[in-house]
Amino acid sequence: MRRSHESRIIAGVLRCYPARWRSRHGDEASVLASALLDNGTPWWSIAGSFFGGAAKERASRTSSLRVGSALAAITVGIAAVPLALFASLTPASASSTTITIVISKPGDAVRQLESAFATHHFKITVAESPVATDLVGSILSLSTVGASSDNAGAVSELYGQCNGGGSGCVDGLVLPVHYSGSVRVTVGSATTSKDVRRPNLAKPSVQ
Amino acid sequence: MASKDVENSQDVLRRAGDASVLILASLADGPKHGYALIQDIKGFSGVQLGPGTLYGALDRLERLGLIAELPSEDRRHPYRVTAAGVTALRSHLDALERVSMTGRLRLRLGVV
Repeated sequence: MRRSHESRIIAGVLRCYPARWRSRHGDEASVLASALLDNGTPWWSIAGSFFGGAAKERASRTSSLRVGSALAAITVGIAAVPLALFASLTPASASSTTITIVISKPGDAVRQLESAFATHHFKITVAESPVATDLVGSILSLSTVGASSDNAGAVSELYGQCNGGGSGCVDGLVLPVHYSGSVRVTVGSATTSKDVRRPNLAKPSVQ
Repeated sequence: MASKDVENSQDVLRRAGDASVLILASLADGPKHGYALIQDIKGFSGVQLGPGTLYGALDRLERLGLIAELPSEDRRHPYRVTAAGVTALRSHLDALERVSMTGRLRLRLGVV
């Protein structure tokens, strides 16, 4: 395949990203793709990686769009990947869909997640753990329970706002539609006890 | 909650993914832009990061405040590690070292 054709295909895949991402990284991503092509990286490898990144970016964007919305107790949607434009570029497996679950009310996170998991027949349990106020309603961990055909690694986390306005907390999940893994999700809950978990970047871990 | 979990919660990179750790390790010796990161990571770890994976991890690290973008040079944005990023990387490497030491010690005990 000729170089210009390869570049056009990659440029097409880059258009799968949301406009905001393209305005920030699009120019640099084109330069990077060109440099990778120059050093012999196959075009389909570059296009595939960008395509996967675009799908994840679109899935995570759904969480930021709902911030501030009081309409839905929880947003459960099927993240549609814009495959139609690029059907000729992608393997068949890329047409699978995902379910995005976002916590919209931190104080009611456990009920929201349980309800969403039940709706989609996921074998996922929800546990609570006392945390500092800013982590209330955030997802703290995912762990596979027992022997499972799908492990927790198939589930992607969405980063959004923390309770109270900070950023970088996990407030949602993206799961394959037919996910069958047995997973436990631990969610931060309010507490009055002294047993509080709080990531502390200022101090190195105690040995 | 068990104390082990409290310790783990300080290792913010524990669930950030391998790409994030590789990027922080690469930036630990100075700012780099995307292509330089891919080349450096391939050099020291043998892992060829895809560009989509790279940008996803860069965005995630930036949201966590572990890296920061520098002014662009020729359409490319270099990134640098922040003080919080250095601390997070150090914590994560300490945790990995504990696992490594335990594994090596147990192998030396000759159970398998």
